[in-house]
Amino acid sequence: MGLCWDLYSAYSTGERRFKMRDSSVSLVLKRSLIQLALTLSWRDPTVCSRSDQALPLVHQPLLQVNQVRKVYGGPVHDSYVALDGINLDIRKGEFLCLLGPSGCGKSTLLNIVAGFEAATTGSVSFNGVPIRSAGRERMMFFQDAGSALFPWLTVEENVRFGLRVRKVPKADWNQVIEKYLRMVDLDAHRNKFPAQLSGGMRQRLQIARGLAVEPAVLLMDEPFAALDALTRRRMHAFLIEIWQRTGTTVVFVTHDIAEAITLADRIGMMSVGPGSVITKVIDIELARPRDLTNPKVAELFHQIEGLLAPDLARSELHATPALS
Amino acid sequence: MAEGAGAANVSRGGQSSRVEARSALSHMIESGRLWKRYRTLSLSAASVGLAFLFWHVLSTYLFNPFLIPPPLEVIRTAIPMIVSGEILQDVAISMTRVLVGFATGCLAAVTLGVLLGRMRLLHDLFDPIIELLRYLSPTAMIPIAVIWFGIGEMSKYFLIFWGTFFIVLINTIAGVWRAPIARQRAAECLGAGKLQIFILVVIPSAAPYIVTGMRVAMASSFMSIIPAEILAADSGIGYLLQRSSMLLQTNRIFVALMTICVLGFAVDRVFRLIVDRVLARYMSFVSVT
Repeated sequence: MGLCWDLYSAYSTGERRFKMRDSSVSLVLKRSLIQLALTLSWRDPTVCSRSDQALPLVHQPLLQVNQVRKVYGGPVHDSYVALDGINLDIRKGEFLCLLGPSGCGKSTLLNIVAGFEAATTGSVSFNGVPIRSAGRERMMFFQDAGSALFPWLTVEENVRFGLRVRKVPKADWNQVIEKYLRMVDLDAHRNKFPAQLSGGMRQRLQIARGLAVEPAVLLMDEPFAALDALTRRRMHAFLIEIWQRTGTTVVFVTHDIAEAITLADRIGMMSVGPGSVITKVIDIELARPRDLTNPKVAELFHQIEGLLAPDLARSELHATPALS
Repeated sequence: MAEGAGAANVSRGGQSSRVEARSALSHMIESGRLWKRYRTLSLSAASVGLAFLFWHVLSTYLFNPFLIPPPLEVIRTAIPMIVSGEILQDVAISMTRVLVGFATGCLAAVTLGVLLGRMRLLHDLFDPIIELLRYLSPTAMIPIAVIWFGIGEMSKYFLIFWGTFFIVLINTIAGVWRAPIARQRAAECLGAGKLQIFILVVIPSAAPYIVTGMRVAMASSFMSIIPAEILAADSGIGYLLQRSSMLLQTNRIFVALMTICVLGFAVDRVFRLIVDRVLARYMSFVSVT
């Protein structure tokens, strides 16, 4: 009887906070039935909002995240459900932000899209081809540029690394390096080592190094979170400019509402873990550059803040992201 | 005068001073700069000088000069030993032993270390043995080394190899282990294959750890060559120590001890110099000097 009630409540509310204290067989069974009920509840349109249902079928999305579920740890004991059925279509050329509180699995999702980690169930496909490992067309940018860069190589050599391992003809190296270092405004520092650069410059170098191999998708994992507010604003303008100029697709992970509104075409809102899902996808059709004091932008900010509030309370993370 | 000293302090603090006061104070500022420039050098000289003075007082007034020969007496003993080449020969022999054992030890340890650091199965298989064997210091291995290799050069090479191997091995494994995952993934995205990531990213990332391990191993080699030569050799600085002890020549013992100090210090300096010249770019995030 109790089991029926649990199953019913799991199905109807999407509640995913079942904790196992007892490891008896019946509880294990009960738990898997609950998981099944949760999976079934995915069909419920009030819990899940499929993002691109309005899109005509001929427009195949560039990246398709399909029912991705990620469970860490053992199959029965000590397992942690990080992602619980993520559905997301990413269109070619768009700027998509994944927004959610700390620990909601944004980075896990990005790592799965990058091919660093495998989804437990579900799939991610690029141009219709399932992703199995890291690929040249998807370039990841890390928050800590200092550890992502090669500290023993100069600025120029860092960019050259990608060209070398991709076997770009030697004759083109200098031209490509010149182009991308100029794009990120580092051509005057080409012979410096990363340790001699400021935080913002290191991040620009990481971007130049990634762009030089001409990826189709830029995957950015809170790349500006460690920068000071002023540098971060400059980097926002700079990233938008590069994105508009190169026409690539960007998937940008952040926990900062203001950052998401400043940058994105669409914001994918993620719920707090365990068992994160994409709760809502918000289209932003405001002209760039976006001013956060603009009433429309401010309204959007409060709307998103309101959507995040229950999650923030649940994750006991009360700090409101500052307007930067 | 008191006014002048105050103004000098201000300008030493890096503030722009008044132009008229500048010429009068230039001498004092200059002396301050001199002090700043030669601070380390003069303090080091003072440190050695004070030690010599203390040593002299100890030997002349507090203890028997036979037990602790005064510094001047030691230098007087050292000069003919250096001129005749006797001590240089011992130094050359000990140095050769250290360098051969150290070089082969480093080579073996780095080769095995990068493999163990990368291959989890291999690591878990070898780690327990390493964790047990590394407590056998080279000194503990002397008796068996003499039986295995005799008192010739081979036993000394083996003992230095033994000491170097475990220190460098453990550091290499730790370095490879700690190569940032973000850096490896970035290289993967850029298009590097598994072998390329290993050679072009993981090993350079481990370089600071490997070099630090080598420095520690170099110091330990200098410490373990002496007991090895005292117990099982017919040449080298350790043998000089042992022979002088048998003949109760305390001043010659002190010459040998001072030689070890100077030699170890000099070799470490040379090591740092080479690292700074050749490996500087790999050490950017760990300061060696």
